[in-house]
Formats: sequence, structure tokens, C-alpha cells
Amino acid sequence: MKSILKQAVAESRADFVEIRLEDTAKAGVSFSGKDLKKAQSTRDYGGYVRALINGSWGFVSFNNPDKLREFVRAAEERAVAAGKGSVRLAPVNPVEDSVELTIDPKDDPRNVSLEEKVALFRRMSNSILKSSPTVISSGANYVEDERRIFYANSEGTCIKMHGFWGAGGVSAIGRHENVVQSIYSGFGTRKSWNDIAQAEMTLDDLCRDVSDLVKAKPVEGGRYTVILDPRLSGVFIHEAFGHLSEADNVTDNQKLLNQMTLGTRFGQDHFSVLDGGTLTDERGSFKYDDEGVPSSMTYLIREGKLAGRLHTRDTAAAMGEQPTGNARTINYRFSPICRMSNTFIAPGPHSFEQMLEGISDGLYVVGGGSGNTSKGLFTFSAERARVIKNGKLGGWIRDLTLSGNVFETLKDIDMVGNDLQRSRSGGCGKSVGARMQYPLSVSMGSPHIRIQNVLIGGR
Amino acid sequence: MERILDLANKHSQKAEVYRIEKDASPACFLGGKLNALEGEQSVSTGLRVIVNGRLGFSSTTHPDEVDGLVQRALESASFGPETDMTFPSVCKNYGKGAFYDERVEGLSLKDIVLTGEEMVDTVKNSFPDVNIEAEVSREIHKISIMNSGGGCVSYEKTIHQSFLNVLLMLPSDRAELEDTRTFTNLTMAPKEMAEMAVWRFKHCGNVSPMQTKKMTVLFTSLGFRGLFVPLFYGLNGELAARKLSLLSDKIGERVIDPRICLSDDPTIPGLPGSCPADDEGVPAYRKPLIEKGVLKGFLYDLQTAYKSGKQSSGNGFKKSSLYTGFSIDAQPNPWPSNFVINPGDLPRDKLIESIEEGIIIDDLMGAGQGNNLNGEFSMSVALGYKIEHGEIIGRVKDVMIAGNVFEIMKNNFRSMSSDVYSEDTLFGRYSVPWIAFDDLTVSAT
Repeated sequence: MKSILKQAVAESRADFVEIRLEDTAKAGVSFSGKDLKKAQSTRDYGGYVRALINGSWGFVSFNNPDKLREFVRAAEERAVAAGKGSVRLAPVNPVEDSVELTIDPKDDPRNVSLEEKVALFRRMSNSILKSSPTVISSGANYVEDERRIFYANSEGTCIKMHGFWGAGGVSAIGRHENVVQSIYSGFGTRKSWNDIAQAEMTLDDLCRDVSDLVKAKPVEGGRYTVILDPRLSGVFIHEAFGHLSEADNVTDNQKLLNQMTLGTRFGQDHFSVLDGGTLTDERGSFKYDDEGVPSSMTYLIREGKLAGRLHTRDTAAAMGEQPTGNARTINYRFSPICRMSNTFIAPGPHSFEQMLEGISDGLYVVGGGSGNTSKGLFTFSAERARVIKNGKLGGWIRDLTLSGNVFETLKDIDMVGNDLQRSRSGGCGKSVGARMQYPLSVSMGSPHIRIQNVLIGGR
Repeated sequence: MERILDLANKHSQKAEVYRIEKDASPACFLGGKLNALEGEQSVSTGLRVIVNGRLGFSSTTHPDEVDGLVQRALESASFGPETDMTFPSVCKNYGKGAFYDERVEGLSLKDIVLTGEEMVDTVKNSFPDVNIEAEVSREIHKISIMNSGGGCVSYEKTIHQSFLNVLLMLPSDRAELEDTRTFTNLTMAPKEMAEMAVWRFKHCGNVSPMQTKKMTVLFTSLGFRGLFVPLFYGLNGELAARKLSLLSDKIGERVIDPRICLSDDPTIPGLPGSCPADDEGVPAYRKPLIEKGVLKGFLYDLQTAYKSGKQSSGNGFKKSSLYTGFSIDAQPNPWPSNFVINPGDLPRDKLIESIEEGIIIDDLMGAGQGNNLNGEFSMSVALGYKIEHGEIIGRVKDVMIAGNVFEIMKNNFRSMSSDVYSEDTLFGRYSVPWIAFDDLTVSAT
């Protein structure tokens, strides 16, 4: 395969050309209550050619690599038809490498049959459903991808990568009188089936929490001092700030670019945010990005000041900055674009107890985090919250949303906890033009954080 | 396909092979400039089998894979859902029929780029400082479905899609518009979209202060996206059978205002969801769902119909969730082809003139995130305008609307525009007029 790719890029007359081939074995299991909604394994096989001629990209995706030469021509034809463009690529050193699986041979998830996977998720969904009369429905789902990638470009980079991602989630939906609430818990692995199977031990908490929540009061809207749990805080930093750090989101927007000038103060001294694919076996980890650039660890905010942003080779050249190894594609149907990997708020000095102290009237907001962000504005729904009165945690409340302007809200983070946690399931969606690339495997991490003056709305 | 079906037949009681070949050429514009000319030349195959009363499925995009595909489908049938559904025995090659336009096929890469540039220029001429993303695509789809019951359906379809996203940065905030229109034939849609974007942004200069109160709310065809999801949940045959739809057991009852007719119509030439048969080979036809306010029926695919003791309505489409489009690894589920609402009696401008006080809603944040099963929506207005004394006086911001789609269509319906617009959204495709409702609470936040 390697020699075929090398030959094809060598024959191309483009200024730059890259070829990716990909073979992915996918499995998916999904239960809604007692009903099996999906249990299947499928194969996704294909590739793309991307050619740069005179500053314009031509791109063609395909399933049949036997006709690779035709597709190289088709990509070149498109690059030429696009006329003269302004794309340049930041220089990187060519790499030849082979990245092997890091799977645990004694607990290999690939050795667990689809039937056993179905059985585990059936047990979990049934067990949630039967846990309490309050629980009216349940959900349990699992997806896994084992992917082999061959990548070669005309600068001499030639990489083979083999990776595994497994992730699942369970949910409990409860009802009390007219109030319906749901609680979700996610889990995942890059190497070991036990990371998935242990979820069965956590179901009691989920069922207890949903039974409490349906009896909770709705929130009273207003401005509060809030503590966010690591799960919600991780989603918050990814959605509201992380996307602004993707260079392609600011290159064409002068006003946003001014707001995102490096060195600008974004938060207090104890507040730092990083992104990088170099962490071991996290959900957003990889050795090389989809342009063959080694992953790195980038400070986005360092001690309160904007310190960096995420780049593809194209955006790095356009802004005169260094590539960071953040060009990623969800699969061979799409061009790589600027994406996050493992994004997280660095742990700080504060304990949870210290955060509670001094809050006379606040909220401890937990979980959830579906919502919208757009160029600095955000609205999130949280799963639930607990009242904080005079430094003490009180009862549960429900149906709350958090909203605001990220530039203001980050400055209001006055305490950062010492208990960093990262998500192990879920994915990130991003569209460029008409096409949505979802789900990309990333992790979102944070310790507990405390924010002053957050606008809380009801639902 | 024959090899796959033959092998599957040896090990199963029933089998069905679905294949789609795609040839697509999109031109992508970022920051108002052509960024890339792309292309996709793909072939993807899905296989369903029924073994001992259980349904199995797998798919592949490998052009030559046969054994692996059949083996995976058979494995999943050992614990798949119970079924005894019958694949349709219709055998027809529709070829390049009513949904194939030679003019779309004939579009060159240059034509596609030119169309995109015209869209960008139209908007830029009026608003030089906006950020524009645009895409124009020409696609040819060849679809073939074969099953063990002798059924074999094949057809070709052309797609001409245009997408426009315009972002206007204002001193204190921004206004954003996103629109996708797709047709099977060559239309003036790209030009109209760009002109409509200009019309919309002309009203974005001033922000009208808002106070929470009841007023008329006019949903444009774009704003209808927020109502589409709870409406679809109500008309989904699977949810109706499980008594989870608000409309379960209400066939023959008047459920909304008698001036509204809603149908699922895959037969209208040009509309993006039009096709001679669904993804299970069931012939497609027009179905009234709500006629003059009276509930007539629900949407079914083969499996949902089997479980509910009904006939498939030809709505089995390979789409797995609200937030994803067609996918080869999705099994058919009941989805609309084209949701169609009848035109009203007032031209769009007259409809606006008739409103004493109200807002126009173009785009919503949080569409599809309410309690859809209950018909409820709760969304903040991302792009909307204030009407006073029949005139648009400015943009609204920080306002929310909430309600129940069936209640407002029953109790608050005011009027609809005589012009209808076809929109292609992630949630689904529909062709609707602008629809006005009276006395909805608009909350200032």
C-alpha cells in the first residue's frame, strides 16, 4: 500500500498533493428501554486526494483505490478549475512512521463479540428501567471504531496509523407528576473493555439522582455565583472558548481577530487553558494529525492571557504562526479542518470546600451542557444544580440554562479547583460551509471552577 | 449486488440489498472567496437479512466486499429486533425519470463556481463587510434496491444544492443567517437566496427594544425549522403506535385549524426529498397527514408498519437521527420525504402589512431541543425583526418564544403567505408558506 501511495503522489504535477486511505470497522449498540434499537457492525472504507495548485485546493473522495490515478487527476482538475487562490502551507519536517495500537492484550475490546456487547447494554438499560417506579424510560448505547489510516504527501511524509476508540453512555428518564427529567452518564476507552464494563457498577447513582431530580424545584432565574462541576465546565470551555481558538474561525473575521489578539487578558492569573493531542490514550489523543503534522500541547490561555491558537498548515501560514497539529477530519469524505483534540482548564489551587466558603446565595451546577455557541455568545442547558446557601449545599433544582458572553464570563472565574477530570465519550461537531463534521473524538476536561455573576435562566 | 443477494439468500429467509452511487462536485466559498473545489465519487452498500424472525443489518463502502458484509449482517440477526415484515415485490427501473435534470448533469465545474460567485457578489454589493460562506453543489445519485421477494427498484436523481451563511458583525453583537436550498432540477434558487439575504440584512441596522408581551409571530420558511421537529414527532407512526405521540388515537379528529393542510409529498418535481420509491423500495406517493385541520394518518416504514399492524407509507429513509442526514450505515426509519403545507391567501408583503404588532422569526437557537414528544418548543430568536403598524422597524435581540406547536396551530393561527418556499434543513426537507400566529408570548430576556 505504501509504495502505491508514494508512487501516486510522486506522479502528480500539483504543487502539493496528499492521499489518505482509511479502513474502519465500526460497531454500534443502542437500547431504548427494553427495545434494541440498533446492533450492527459495519465497514467504512475509502480515501481522498487533496491537491494544491496555484493556491487553490482540489479535493476528491472515493471508495475504490484501484482507480487512484483517476482520482489524483480529478483532484488536480478541480484545483486548476478553482483558479488562482491564496492558500499557502506552513513548512513542516517530513515524517515516515508507523503508529501501532496501544490496546491492552489481556482485555482487548475487539475480542468481545457483538453479542456480548449487546448483552451488557441490554442488562444496563433494563436495570435502570426496573430500578424505581419513578424511572419511565432508559437508554444505553455504545459505539466503537477501529481505524487504519495510510497517509502520504508529496513532501515525503508517509505514515501508517492504527487506532481504537470505544465509548458509551447510559441515561435514566424519570417522571413525577408532570415533571420529566433525564440524567446521562458517559464512559469510554482507547484500550480496555473493563473501562466500558465497569459502567454497570455506577447505575445506582444515576437512578437515585433522577428520582431526586424529578421532585426538585425549578430554578429561579437571576444572577448567581456558580460552581460548575468538571463535566459541565469541560463542555463550557470547549464550546464557548475552544471553538474561538480554532484559527479558521477568526481568519475571516477582523472584529473577532482583534478580540483574539495574543497577550490580551482573558482571565485571572490562576486560569490557564490548553489543548493537545499528545496525552496518553485520551479520547482526543493522536500522534500525527490528518496532515501528518505531529500533535503538540498548546497553551490557549496562560495565566490569564491569550497565549496561542489551534492551526492547520494553511491557517498557520496565513497568520504567520506555527502549525500545532490540529488539522483533523472525521473520515475520508471530508477535508481536514482546524479542530480541537484534548481541551482542558489546567488544575488550580482551590479545593471544593474553599469554593463553597463565602457563597451566601449560589448554585452548584452539574452535568449536561447541550446548547449553542456562536462567536463569543453561549447558551447551555445544565442537567441539574444544587442550591448553595451560606456556604452549604442544599437541595436539587432543575430546568436551568446558563448564558452570557464568553469574554466577560472567563474573567469572572475567580477560583479553579485541583481536581481535573476529562470526558471519555461524546464528540465534537463543526461545520465549514454546508457540511457538518460530527462526531469527532475529542476530550473536554476541567476541574471544578467558580464563576461570579452568571446569568441563569429557567426553561 | 446479485452476488451479495445470492449469498445472503442461502443463509436467511429474506434479504435486501441497497446500493447508492454518488458523483458530487461542490464548490466551497469561505470568507467570500472560493476555498476549494471538491468532489465525491462513491459507492456504498447496505444489506438487511431476516433470519428466524430476526432482522440483521450491515453496510460497507468497500467496492468488492461480499463475504464480510453478509457475515456481519447474519451475526447481527442473531439478536436483532423481531420481525416478519415483507419486502415489496415491485420491480421497476425508473431510470432518469421525473427527478433527473439533464441541465444539472451538464453543469461544469466553471458553472458551479460562477453560480457561487454570483451569490457572494449579490450579498457583497449591498453589504461589503459581511463574512460569507457559500457552497454550490451538483450531484448525481444512482440508487438500486433488490430483495429476495423479487423486488427491484432503481432510479437516478440529480441534486442542485446551494448554501449560504452570512455573518454581519455589528458594534455590540452580530446577526447571522444560514440557508440551504436543494432541488432536483436547475432553478433560480441561488439568486433568490442571495436576494433574500439582502432583504433580511436591510432590517438588521436598528435593534428594536422589546418587552415581554403577547403579539403576532410570523414564522418565515427558515423559522419554521423550530416548529418542524415537534410537528414531525406528532406524526411519526412509531411514536403513535407506542402512544407517545400527542396525536395517537386522534385519526379523524380536528387537531389544528381547518385552513391548514399538511401532507408528505415525494411526487412534486424538483423538491429535494422527491423520489419514485423510498429506501426500502416502497413506491412513493402523496399522503395527506392533516387535511383541513383533520388528522388523516402517520408516517411508517416497513418495520414500524409491521409492528403497528399498518402498511408502510413509503417513508422508510436511511437517516438515523434528527441531527444526521442520509447515511449508508443507518437502517430505514420513518422520516418525511417533503413536508408540504398549502399556500395561504396573502402575498408575503401584504401579510406583513396586515400585522399591527408582532415579530418575524427567521432563525432560532435551540430548535429541536424542547420536549418534542409533548409538541413543545422553547427557543431563543437568533434572527428576527419587529413589525409595528404593518412595517418592519428593526431587528429584535434577546427574545425567546415557547409554546406547543399543536396548540398554536389550533388556537392561534392567523394566516399564511401565498408564496411557498422549499428549505433543506438537517432535520428534514419541507416546503411551506410563511405562517403567522396571534397572541403568542414573546419574552424579553
